[in-house]
Amino acid sequence: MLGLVLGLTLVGVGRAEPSRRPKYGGTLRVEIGAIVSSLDPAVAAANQAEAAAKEKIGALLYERRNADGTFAGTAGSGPFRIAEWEPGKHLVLAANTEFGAGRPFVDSVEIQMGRAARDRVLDLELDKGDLVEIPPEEARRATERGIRVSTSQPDELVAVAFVAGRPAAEDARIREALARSLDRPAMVNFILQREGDPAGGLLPQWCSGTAFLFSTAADVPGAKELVSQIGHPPQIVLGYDSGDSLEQSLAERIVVNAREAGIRLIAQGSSEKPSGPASYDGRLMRLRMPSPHPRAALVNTMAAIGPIIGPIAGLELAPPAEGASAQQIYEVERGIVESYRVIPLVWLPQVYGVGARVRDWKAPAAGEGWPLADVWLEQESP
Amino acid sequence: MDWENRLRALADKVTAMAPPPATIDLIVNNLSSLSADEVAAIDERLKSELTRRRLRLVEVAPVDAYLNVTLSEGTEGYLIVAQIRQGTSEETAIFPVSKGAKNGKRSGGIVLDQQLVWEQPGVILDFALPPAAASEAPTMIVLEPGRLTFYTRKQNEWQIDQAVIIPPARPWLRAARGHIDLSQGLANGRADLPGIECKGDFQHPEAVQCSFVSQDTQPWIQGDATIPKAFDAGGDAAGVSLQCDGRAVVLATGKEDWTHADFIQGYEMEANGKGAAASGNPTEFGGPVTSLWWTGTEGVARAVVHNLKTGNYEAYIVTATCSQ
Repeated sequence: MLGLVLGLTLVGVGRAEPSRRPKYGGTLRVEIGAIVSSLDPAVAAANQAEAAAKEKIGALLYERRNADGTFAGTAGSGPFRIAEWEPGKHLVLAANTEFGAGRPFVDSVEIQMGRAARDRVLDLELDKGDLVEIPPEEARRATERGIRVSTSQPDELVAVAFVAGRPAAEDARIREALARSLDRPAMVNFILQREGDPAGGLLPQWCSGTAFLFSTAADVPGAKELVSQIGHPPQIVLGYDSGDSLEQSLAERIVVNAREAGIRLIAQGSSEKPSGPASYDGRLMRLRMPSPHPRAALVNTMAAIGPIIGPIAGLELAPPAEGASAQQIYEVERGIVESYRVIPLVWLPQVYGVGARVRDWKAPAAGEGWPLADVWLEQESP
Repeated sequence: MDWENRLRALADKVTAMAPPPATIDLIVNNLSSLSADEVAAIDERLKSELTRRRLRLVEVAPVDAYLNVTLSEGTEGYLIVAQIRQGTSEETAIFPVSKGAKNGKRSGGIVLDQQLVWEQPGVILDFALPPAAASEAPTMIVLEPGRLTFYTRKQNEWQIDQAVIIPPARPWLRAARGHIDLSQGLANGRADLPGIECKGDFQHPEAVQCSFVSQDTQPWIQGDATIPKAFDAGGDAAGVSLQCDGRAVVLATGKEDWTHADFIQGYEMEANGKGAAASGNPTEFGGPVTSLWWTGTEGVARAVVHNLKTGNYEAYIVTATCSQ
């Protein structure tokens, strides 16, 4: 049976190269919110946003990584080299014509740092930018404004991690009660504007295939029952990054959910790093997956939360070994989740606004850098 | 087949927990990309395995055990996730199933079947599976931007035998295309990149020589020369030396750019060569098809796919047949 008849296009002598073949040239203009003060991998980032941006830029400058994931070799061995650098403000990268995997399509990339989210979106609309980061909670609004939005798989977990040794964090019942009280779907629907997924486990469904086994539904009666068993539950102090509006919104929502279950919880904004001395019982953490593979992602999460939550009684916190089966990975994940030392909240995607002339951009997968070497421009810079 | 083995293992597990003649309440859910037809086939197979073990499938009490099976999917393949509840005890058993060949969809017209033969993190420009004598181990040749790699299949795994380093052309262009040509036999093999030609006896890779050539001498860059000039489905196309009802069959990719999942569609050319019609269902992939060539065997093409989910490059054999 024959289907739709093609409209044939006469193309003269020889077949034309398909229009999806990339073109070379032009300058890609990128705007980000983070302020990167140093591109030296040995210099620690001041905050998580800077660390994430530095990682993305580093992946453009270095060709190889060491076994521990740090960059190897010299800056400029990757697809781009530094052409101009004004720390914290402005970076221009030039295409590395000697790059072994082939020179990038664009001649250069200009990265503006420290741009506020609304300014980034405005610049995109005014054609002053080609590629801008958009906070996930702003994605829906950007789409409604007609912006071309590119969204990755959800690969960043926001979770509450209880601090080992803090009295309020040591009662498993209060931790479980808080976990049961949380209305994660409401967090996704109202705070994230549906750009993300409720998180019940430490790995997303697209990665492990087993996330559906972890409940994300609120169980307020169950939480109240646990609270009633405690009698006089201690007050929980929940820390969050005061410079992160999303963490603040989530913390405020947690306060409301906890109160409905009879849990006394206050949210306390702080610029303190998670590894600093704790003045809180639990804190919000953002954990970006370094790999789409379940074992590698879980090992990384365990390494990040381990120093905070400490050893889990009755559970060996050994990361799943190389070659671990899906069953083994699930069992380790379940052991951590059911300890309630970590309470997963939501999965966030990476969201980007993409200009009309940008081609072959795809939002990076977990652990990938910006694929700027593959991006090409339909027309040169205006 | 992997599904069969895993379903057998699941049935054994259930039997161990609820020995026959136990009554089982079975529910099968699908959270994967498997089609409804595929899920129905798996469901049937599982029921068959359970009843063969003298377990009785029921939907009403008395029920000895509840078996909730979810067909799921992660980055490393499909999963059969079984939640077995008996009384107050519940056990979760997970059985991974690799993503192998999917069944071709048979609804008339050209039927396409895809078979994944190789995947790797690095770029694949083209690949070839030379015919092997019955007494010889199968071999595979993979063309990458910087090397031509020769593999032999040993103990069910492809293992590298040798690699020929390909000198970089200047400028080092990205997204270089490539083409392996074994039409003159392995002894006169050719592997080309734009401006570079590697040729020699591919049975003895150490003798393969690479040299710079003019792109004017590389007609493959313009695509499959056997395709009528008027045919343009928007992407790459390959004739596969197959005719259905007297019409030549051409396979073609979609026309989206390389950030999108892609497909290969079969087309039947009109007898006068001036028209073409899509025929049968397309076969779909998890990323753009970056290379599509005829293998030299009737109805068989080779395709390279950049899987957007895993980031890997995948080599597929795509077989076209005329439906009856």
